[in-house]
Amino acid sequence: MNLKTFKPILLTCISIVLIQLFFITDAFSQSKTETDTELVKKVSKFLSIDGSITSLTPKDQYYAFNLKIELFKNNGADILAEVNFSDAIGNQIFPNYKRLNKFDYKSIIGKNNHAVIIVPILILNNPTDEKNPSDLITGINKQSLRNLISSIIHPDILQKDITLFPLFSISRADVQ
Amino acid sequence: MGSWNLMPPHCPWDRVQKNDADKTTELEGLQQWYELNKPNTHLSSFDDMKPLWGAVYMTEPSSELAIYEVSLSNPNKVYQKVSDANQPNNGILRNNIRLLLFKDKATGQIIAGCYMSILNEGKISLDLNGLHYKQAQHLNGKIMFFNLSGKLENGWEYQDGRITKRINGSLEGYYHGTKSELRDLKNPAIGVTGSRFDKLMTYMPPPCVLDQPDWRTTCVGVDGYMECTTYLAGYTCVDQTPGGGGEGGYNPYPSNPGHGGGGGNGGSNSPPNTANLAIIDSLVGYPCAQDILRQLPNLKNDIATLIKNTFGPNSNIDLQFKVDSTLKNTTVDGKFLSYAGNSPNNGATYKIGINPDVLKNASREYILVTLYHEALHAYIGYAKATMSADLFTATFGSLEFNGGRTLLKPVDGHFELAANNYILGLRNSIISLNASYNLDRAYALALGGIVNLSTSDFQINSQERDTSKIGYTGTKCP
Repeated sequence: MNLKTFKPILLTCISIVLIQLFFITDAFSQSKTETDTELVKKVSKFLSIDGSITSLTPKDQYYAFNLKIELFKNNGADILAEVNFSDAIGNQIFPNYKRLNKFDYKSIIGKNNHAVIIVPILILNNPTDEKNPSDLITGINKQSLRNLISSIIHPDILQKDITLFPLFSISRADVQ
Repeated sequence: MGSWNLMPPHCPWDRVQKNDADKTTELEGLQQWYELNKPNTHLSSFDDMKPLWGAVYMTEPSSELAIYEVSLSNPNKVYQKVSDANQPNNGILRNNIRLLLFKDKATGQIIAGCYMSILNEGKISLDLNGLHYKQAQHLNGKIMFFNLSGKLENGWEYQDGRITKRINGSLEGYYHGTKSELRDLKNPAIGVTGSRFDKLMTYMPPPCVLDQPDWRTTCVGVDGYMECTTYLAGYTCVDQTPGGGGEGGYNPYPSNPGHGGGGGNGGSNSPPNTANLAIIDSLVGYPCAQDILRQLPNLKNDIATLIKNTFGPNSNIDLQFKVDSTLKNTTVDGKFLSYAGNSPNNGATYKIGINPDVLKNASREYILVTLYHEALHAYIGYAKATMSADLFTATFGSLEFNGGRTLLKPVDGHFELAANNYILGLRNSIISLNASYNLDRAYALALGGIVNLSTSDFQINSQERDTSKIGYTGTKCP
């Protein structure tokens, strides 16, 4: 298949999956306030500044995984956050990710005792893509596309107390 | 000259095993800087205090800076008061004032000086001599920084050694008492005393988006045996949170928003900071480049406007400049490294890496055009991520990506209009920084990295890229 067709397919597939996932968490997300929007921005900003793909070798061109922030209430009061990546590569890309456990997650956990935030993460690490005038993604076949999308979603996504954040991505440019 | 009497004896100075000649040279450098930069007229009570050059303590709170703490004589017994009027002040037991000198380790130059006042408002038994710059131990009280003119720049309030409040030096006013044995620290900037027991005006710092752990090493031992342990001293905010010098510190870089504004001394001729919060400065250790970066969006030229409109405070797109050590000893001046976020249209950070050789050795004009050049790459990257392919091609015309280099090709001996606008824009940006800089040389610098250079243009770029060689006509960074 022509490479030109892969990018729309990838984006469409990801969009469909994410839309479905948003419906799964619809009851949860409909009650969200502006504070949640600010939290999404804050987490995204943190990941944007902290994330570094300098050490990733270009030959491994794409990475898909997710960030899981699990929230517990301690004696019904303090909120404890456990932060983990589904793939160890996340620890390498975001060296200060543990700092996320100090964010304010009150708006997410609300009156519940437990909640989970999933941040899907996609790393487009092939610098050739940025030099491609049409922004095409290279080197992807159907199976790798399936694998990428599967990896980006947490396996326990059907839990009712999961909040799915928007896709976060890093693209390597390496343009001089 | 007094002998080195370091407090405590296991301070980092001892660890580096400097010989007496090195110490003498370094001490002379500190003294010379102080003599050149201290106020010529009596401005504040600090002027009555004289450095005791025989009592110097050195710390290295970061890979970029070395801090010298110099004890001071205090013949007029000037102390800060504690905030609680019911607390006994006990002068010398509660307040310790030192001179701090900041050295840029990369250049070996002293870049700033200030007074550090440690005020213990907790248990009187706390030994203030054991507290140092960014080492508050179990302090309950404040550590405040005054510039050499005696003006309060910033400070920090502590509870059991942990920062609880950031003190904004721009809000004037600090304690003054009535007890005759305690003279007051007068701020010449306000000139009047105000009401009794004016409280320091403080505010809680905004949450830090990105704070990095601050690991330190401390060594204890005697000659021939030294045991060193690493500990977490706290966290440093590396985003644009205002306040100064990272958590607990002082900003030694003149008027640099990335370090919290204010601080340093001698000031800057730069235009006032317009709080360009979306351009992130991670060029720590290169104060000259940081000063240029601060000016970058505010200079009067078209590229500055373009960058400001795209990455400025009214945009949710950030631009981060960082030092890229992988470029050292290469001919690559900088790179548009990556972009990250939810989507290019809905919040993203574009990262640029700059060659440390350029940051250290190039003229100000060359650094400026390099920063603009890389910022334009990020701008083009943003446009590429948000425009349709057809619109992108129509907008940027003859851009060519050649092995990572972005080149503009002349068509029939002329650049396309868009390309020409960028080249002339870069040329004009140099002139906006230095109006007396030669226009032809500015054009040659603007062409660098965009087209394949002629021999003469290449030479001009080489001259300005390394001011340790002869031939440059730009402004050499100090």
